[in-house]
Amino acid sequence: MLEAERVGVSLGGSRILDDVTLSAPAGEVLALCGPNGAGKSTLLALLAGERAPDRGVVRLGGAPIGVFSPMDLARRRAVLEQHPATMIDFTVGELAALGAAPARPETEFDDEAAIALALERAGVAHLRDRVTRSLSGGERHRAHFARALVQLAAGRAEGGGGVLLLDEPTASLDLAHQASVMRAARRIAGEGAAVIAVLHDLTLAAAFADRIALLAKGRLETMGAPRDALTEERLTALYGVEISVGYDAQGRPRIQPVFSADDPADAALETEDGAPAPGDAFAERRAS
Amino acid sequence: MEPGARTTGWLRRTADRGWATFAAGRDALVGRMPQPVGVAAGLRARRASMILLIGLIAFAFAVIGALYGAAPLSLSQLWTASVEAITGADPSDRAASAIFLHVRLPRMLLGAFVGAGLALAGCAMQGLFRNPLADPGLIGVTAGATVGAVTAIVLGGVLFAEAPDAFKPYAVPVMAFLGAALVTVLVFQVAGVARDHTGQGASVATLLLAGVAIQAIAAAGVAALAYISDDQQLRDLTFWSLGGLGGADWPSIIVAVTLIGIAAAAIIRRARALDLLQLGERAAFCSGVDVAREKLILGGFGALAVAAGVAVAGPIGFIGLVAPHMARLLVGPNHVYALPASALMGAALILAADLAVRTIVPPAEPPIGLATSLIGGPFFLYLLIRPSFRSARHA
Repeated sequence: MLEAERVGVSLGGSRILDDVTLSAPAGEVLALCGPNGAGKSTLLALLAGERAPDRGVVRLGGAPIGVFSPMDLARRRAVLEQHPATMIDFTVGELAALGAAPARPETEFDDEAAIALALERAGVAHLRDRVTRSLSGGERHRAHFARALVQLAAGRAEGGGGVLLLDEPTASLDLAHQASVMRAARRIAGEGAAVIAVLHDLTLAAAFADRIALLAKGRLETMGAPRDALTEERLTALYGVEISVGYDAQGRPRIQPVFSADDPADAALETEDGAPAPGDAFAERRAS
Repeated sequence: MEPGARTTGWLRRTADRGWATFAAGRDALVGRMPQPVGVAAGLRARRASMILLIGLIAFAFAVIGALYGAAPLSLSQLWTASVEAITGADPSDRAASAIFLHVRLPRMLLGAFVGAGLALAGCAMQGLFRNPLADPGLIGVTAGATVGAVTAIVLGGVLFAEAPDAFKPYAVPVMAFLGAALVTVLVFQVAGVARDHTGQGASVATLLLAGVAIQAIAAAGVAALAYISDDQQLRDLTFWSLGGLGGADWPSIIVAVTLIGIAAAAIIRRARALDLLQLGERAAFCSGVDVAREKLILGGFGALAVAAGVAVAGPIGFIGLVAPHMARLLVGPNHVYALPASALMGAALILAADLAVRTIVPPAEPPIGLATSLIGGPFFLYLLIRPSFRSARHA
């Protein structure tokens, strides 16, 4: 169980994240969604223990996340970065094997089996002996996903609860692989892990997440089942684009932006109370 | 039996026995090394064979280097002298024994350790900075050690006037270490400030330009010290700064070898952390690496290895660049293999370079840096222009 309690982060006088409370119970996929600059990645960094909140507290299994050593953390949660390293000379198999680092030699952990399973689930088993730097962006991203899955397995062998944090895991993937990565995330949750994923694609989030946390301007707008969280009025207001929400056969929301070439929303984006979006360094520079 | 057939039979038996020994050594090596998962068993054996092979090459250079010189020794003289030295027996051939024990052996030992130390420091720094060109010489760590060592040579009498006599042989290595450590901290700071936003490695340009600046400062420091030194100090300084394995005596060699041995053991133990650091600092942290601590350990022991080598053998360039690259070419990027392979490769390269400078114009002995730079300079240029590096440069 990973929880954030009233966490906030300030940077250069602006509040990047303010008063966010949420929890990710085991067995559930939680999607973090919201427009650019909403604070999704910052929130994920707090949940990963990569940075400490300026206000509030993040708890992992009941204890403040700051008390854990890097290795203790690695046994309790695995992270897939938004931009994982590209210039990697390891083969995909060796890269995935790095995920086994948190497992102690004396622990009962079949790393070969865990690696094979992770490569399979990430859809890169056929690339096992390819050098990572020679892969396409999407293949490489999935190879790093496999590494995160191995780390999760190693952590669970060490008695860690199993939290998987994914920062836009589908951004560089084609449609079929977006679905396969999210299916893998679902399966991981089904095995008792808590999965938190930053997702841009709301339809994808609605299809695969149990709950969606909608962030905007550093605040948590709403959190709930996709059907309740993703309403037309709320999304249209948050994203500044007219959005129509349909429903598929299972009743899951299907989000469709209604683009027009001459969109009055552009004007709204620029004049919107004159303040730059938090975390938007370029806007801050332009404003000053 | 025909004499020819007997020779062939003997050759085959020797070859078989040699191969059996090699295979046994390889299997022992595979068994003893921490097992990197994700590497197929056949590949592990092949990489262990490579490490063993590099070691044998280094050993062969050491033996040739021990035989060759102003007074050449024969293999049997070398053998007798070593056996007698080990068993403590009275030397049967005093001259050969003295040459071996007091001239050749310290030289080979020093060469092997200095080469291994420089190569390990290079391998560790390339891993830390995720940058193929991070060489202790190019980024200025060697220059820092040089300033420290020269300070000890010139100002040692004043600085350590009150120090106990037991400390005196350590003055140069200690000051060299301080210089190297200072530069390492500085380079970390520069690399940290200048890191690009993607969180990838420190950019090549930044590191190399920082190295240029540091070397310029160091050169000014050395020049200033040379300016204020007296004639004897100037001679010492000049002699030392040419670099070479010939000038050292046993006490200083023991100090250097011990320090390099400690640093080497510490660096080789960090193989897993270095592997994880290839993912970038954020991902390494998320994989359980205490990044700040690893930087301190690897940077510190890297500086120690460089400093100890520089203190006794003078500044020797490019080994830290060339050896790890050749090693990775042969055993792959996994640091469990790359670190020991780099160390042995560094030893082999230094011993080969030493042999080369001693054979070119005997009995004169050009500085060893001449040979290492002749190999390393072109290699450096090759690294700069090869396509896979050009695409990596801005990453």
